[in-house]
Amino acid sequence: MIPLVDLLLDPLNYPFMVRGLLATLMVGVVCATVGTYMVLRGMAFFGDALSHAILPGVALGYLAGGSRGSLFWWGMGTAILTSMGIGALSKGARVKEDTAIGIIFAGMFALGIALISTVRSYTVDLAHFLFGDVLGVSGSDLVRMGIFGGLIVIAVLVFYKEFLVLSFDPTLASTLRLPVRFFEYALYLLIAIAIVVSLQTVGVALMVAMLITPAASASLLTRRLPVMMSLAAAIGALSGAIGLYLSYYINIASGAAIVLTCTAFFALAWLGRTIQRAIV
Amino acid sequence: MIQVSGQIIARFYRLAILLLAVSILLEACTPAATQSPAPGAVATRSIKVIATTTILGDIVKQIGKEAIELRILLPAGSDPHTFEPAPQDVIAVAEADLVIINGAGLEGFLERLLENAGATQVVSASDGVELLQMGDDLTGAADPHVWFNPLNVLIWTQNIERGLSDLDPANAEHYSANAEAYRAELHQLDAWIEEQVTLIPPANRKLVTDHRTFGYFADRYGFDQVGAVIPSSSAAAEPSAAALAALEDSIRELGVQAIFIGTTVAPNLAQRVATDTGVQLVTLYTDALTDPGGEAASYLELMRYDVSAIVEALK
Amino acid sequence: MIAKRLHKTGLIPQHAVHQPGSPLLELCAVSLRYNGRVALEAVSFQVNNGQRVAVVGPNGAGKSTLFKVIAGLLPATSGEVKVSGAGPGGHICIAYVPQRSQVDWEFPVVVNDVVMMGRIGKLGLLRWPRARDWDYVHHALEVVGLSHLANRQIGELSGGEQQRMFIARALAQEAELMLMDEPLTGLDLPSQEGIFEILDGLGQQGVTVLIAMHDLKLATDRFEQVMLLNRRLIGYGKPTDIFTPERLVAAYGGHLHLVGAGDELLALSDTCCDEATG
Repeated sequence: MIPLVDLLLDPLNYPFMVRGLLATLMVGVVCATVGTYMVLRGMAFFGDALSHAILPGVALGYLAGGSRGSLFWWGMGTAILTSMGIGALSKGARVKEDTAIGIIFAGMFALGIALISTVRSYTVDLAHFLFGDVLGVSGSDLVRMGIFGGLIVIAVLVFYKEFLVLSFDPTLASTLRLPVRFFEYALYLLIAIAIVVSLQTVGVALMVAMLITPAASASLLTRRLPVMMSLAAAIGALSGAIGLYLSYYINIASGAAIVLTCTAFFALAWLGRTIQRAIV
Repeated sequence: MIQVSGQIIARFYRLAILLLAVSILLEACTPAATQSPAPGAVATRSIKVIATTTILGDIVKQIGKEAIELRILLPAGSDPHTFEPAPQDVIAVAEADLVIINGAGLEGFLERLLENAGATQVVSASDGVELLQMGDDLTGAADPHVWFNPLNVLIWTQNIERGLSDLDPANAEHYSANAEAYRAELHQLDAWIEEQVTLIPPANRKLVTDHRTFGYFADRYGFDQVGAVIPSSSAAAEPSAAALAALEDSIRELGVQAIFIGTTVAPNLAQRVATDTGVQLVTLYTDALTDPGGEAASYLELMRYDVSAIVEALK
Repeated sequence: MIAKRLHKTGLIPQHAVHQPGSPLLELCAVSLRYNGRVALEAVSFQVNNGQRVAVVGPNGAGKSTLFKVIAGLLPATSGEVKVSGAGPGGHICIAYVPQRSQVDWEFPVVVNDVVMMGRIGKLGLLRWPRARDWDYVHHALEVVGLSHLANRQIGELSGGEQQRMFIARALAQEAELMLMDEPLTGLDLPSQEGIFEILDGLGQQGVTVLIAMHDLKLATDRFEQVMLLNRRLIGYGKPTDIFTPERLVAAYGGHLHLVGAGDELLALSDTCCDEATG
C-alpha cells in the first residue's frame, strides 16, 4: 500500500510539476473570484467569447516574431480591446448583447485562425493555445501570473461593495451616483486579465469552465456572497491540484482533467443540494 | 443597403468558385495521352512532378533535374505532421503528372487530398524500405522518418527513377544516370557518418529528441533512442505529466548530455526539460530543409549538419 | 485623501446642496420622448416635504418613467426637474424602490447586506462600513420591524417583508424623497397595513413619498394627495377632487368601467394586458 503522503509528494520531485501545481492553484483562485460575478450576472457566454477572441492577438504576436513573454502582452491587449468592444456594441441598443457577443466571438476567432494559417509552422502551438500547456509553465510565466492574479484579487476586494451594488441593483447604483459605466468596464477588464493569465493552464476551449463551474458549485452551497466567493476560490484551487495529480497518475491531458474535476465538484454540490431539499 | 451588397458579393463568389471547379474538372478529365510526348520523340515539355516534403523534393530534383517541373507541397520550415493543405494545393495535385510521397504514414493529410484532387499517378518513395516500429509502447504505427538512414534513401532513388521513367520513357537514360551519380554520393555520406560516429564514446550514444525522429539513424549507426519529449512520431501529440517525469528520470539515470530538437516544432516543453535536468539543448534539422543558402539546403547538407552537431554534443 | 483626488477627476460627482425654502420636488413642463413614442408630456407639479402622493394611472401611463426621470436615471427631453432647488443628478437622497418582480431574489445577500447597500453613497470609495453605518442599518430595520430577519437570505422573505426591507434601505440611505413602484401589489391586507404604518411614521419625519399604484380605492382611502397620470398630468390634488368621472375616463379610457351603485360611483379598473411600461 502506497501511503498517501508518497502519492502527494512523488510528483513534486519534478520542477515542472511544482510549477504546474502553483499555476493551477493561482488560476483556480483568480478565475473563481471574477467568476463569482460572472455567475451572478449571467456572463458565461461573454467569458467564453472573450477567451476565443484572444486568438488573433496571439497570432499577431507570432507573426511579429515575439517571445513567449510578449505573447502574453499581445493577448492582454486583444482581450482588453475585445471586452471594451463588446461593452460598447451592446450599449448601442441596435443589437442585443447576446448577439453582439456572438458576432465578435466568431469574427475574432476566425481572424485568429486565418492569421495562424499563414504561419505554416508552429501549428502545434495553436493546439497549446486551445487546450493548454500547463506542463510547459516557466518561472517567468509564474511570476506574471502571480502579479496580475494578485492585482485582480486586490481589485475585487477593494471595490467589493461597488461591484456588489452594481451586480445586485444597478438602479440603486445609479441613484447613488456611482460611476456605473466605469465599474462595468472595470469588471470586463478584470475578467479579460484573468483569462489571459489563466490561458496556459486549461487553454481557450475550456477556460469558461474555470471561470464558471467552481462559482456555480459555491452558489449551491451558500447564500452569502463573501462565503460564495471564498468557497469558489477554494474549489477552483482544489480542482486544479486534483486535476493535475490525476493527469500525472492516470495519464490524461491536464487541462481536461482539471475541468472534469471542477465539473465533478459541481455534480456533488448539486446532488447534495437536491438530497437536502428532499429530506427537509 | 449593406444587406443587398452582401448578397451580390456572395453571388459573385459562388460564381467564381463554380468557374474554378469547372476548370479543375476539365483539366482532370482530359486524358493524359494528349499531354505526354509521343513515344520515341524528345520531350516537348517537362513533366509536372509534385513531391510532398522538401527533403524528398531534393532527391527528386537530383534525379529529374531539368526534365521535370518540380513543385513541393510543404513550404520550407513547415511540419509534415500538422500540415493542412490549402485549396491551391488541391489544384496543384490535380494538375500534376506525378505525385511522389514519402510514404510510411508521414502524409496523414494525403488521402483526403487525393480524393479531392481526383486520380493522379502516385509513387511512394519508401516502398520496399524496411520499416521500424515506433517504440515499445506504440504498436502498429511505423516510424516515417526513414531518411535518417542514407541506405533507405538509396531505395528512394530506385523508386523515384522507376516512377519518372515510367511516365517519361524518353528521358529514362537521363534519370538513370542522375540516380547513379546520386547513389554514389549517398554511399559516401554513409561512410563519412560511420567515421564520425566513432568519435563518440559508445556510452554516450544516446539520443533524446523532441519527437521520435531518429529511429532509423539509431538503428543504422548504433545509437539508443532513450526518449522523446513527445513520445510519438507525430509532433502534434501531447505528452502526459507521467511521460515527462519518466523522461526526466531517464535523462538523469543514463547521464544523457543533450536534448536534440527540430526546427519545425515549438521548443517550449523541450526547453523546460533541458533547464530542469541541466542538459544542453541542441537544434537540428529533422523534417524539413532550410531555404537555399541556409545550413541544410539539401539532404546531404542536412545530414552532415545534424551528424556534426550530434557528434559535437555527445563526444 | 484618495477619495478627494477622485472627486476632482469628475469620476465621482459632488453631491448637491439642498436649497432651503424651495419645495422638495418640482417639475416644470417635463416631457420625455423615447424611441419615437411620447412617454411623458408637459408634466408640471410641486411636492412639499413630508407629503405622501399616490401616482395613479393605467399600465403604460408613464408612472415608472416619471419616477426614473425624477431620480435622475433618465434625462427628460425637455423641461426641468428640481429636487430641493437643484437637478436630480447631484443628489443621493432620492430612493427608488423597484417593483418586487424585477429583483433577483436568488442573489446571495441577506437583509443586512441589502440595507447596508443604501449607505454606499455616504461611505464613498475605498471605505468599509463602520459602527456608525451599522447603527443606521439597525435603526432602519427597527423602524420597519425586520430586526429579527436581519440575517435571512432575501429570497426567504415574504412579499411584505421584502417591501419593508427596501424601505429600510431607503432609510439607511437617509433618503428625503422616496419613489416606490407598485409596492402594495400582491400584498395581503395585514401586510399593506404594516407598510402604511411605516409610511405614516416617515411622513412625520418629513420624508416625502411618491407611490405608483393602480388601486383607486386604496388611493382614495389612504392618501391626501393623488396624481392622475396618463402621459399628461390629468389631475393633482385631493382624491375627491381628482377622481371625478370625466378625469377618470380621460385617464383610463377603455380600461375603466364606471358603474353607478346607489349614490356612489364604482370604478372598475382593468389591470390586465400590460402595455410596455416606461
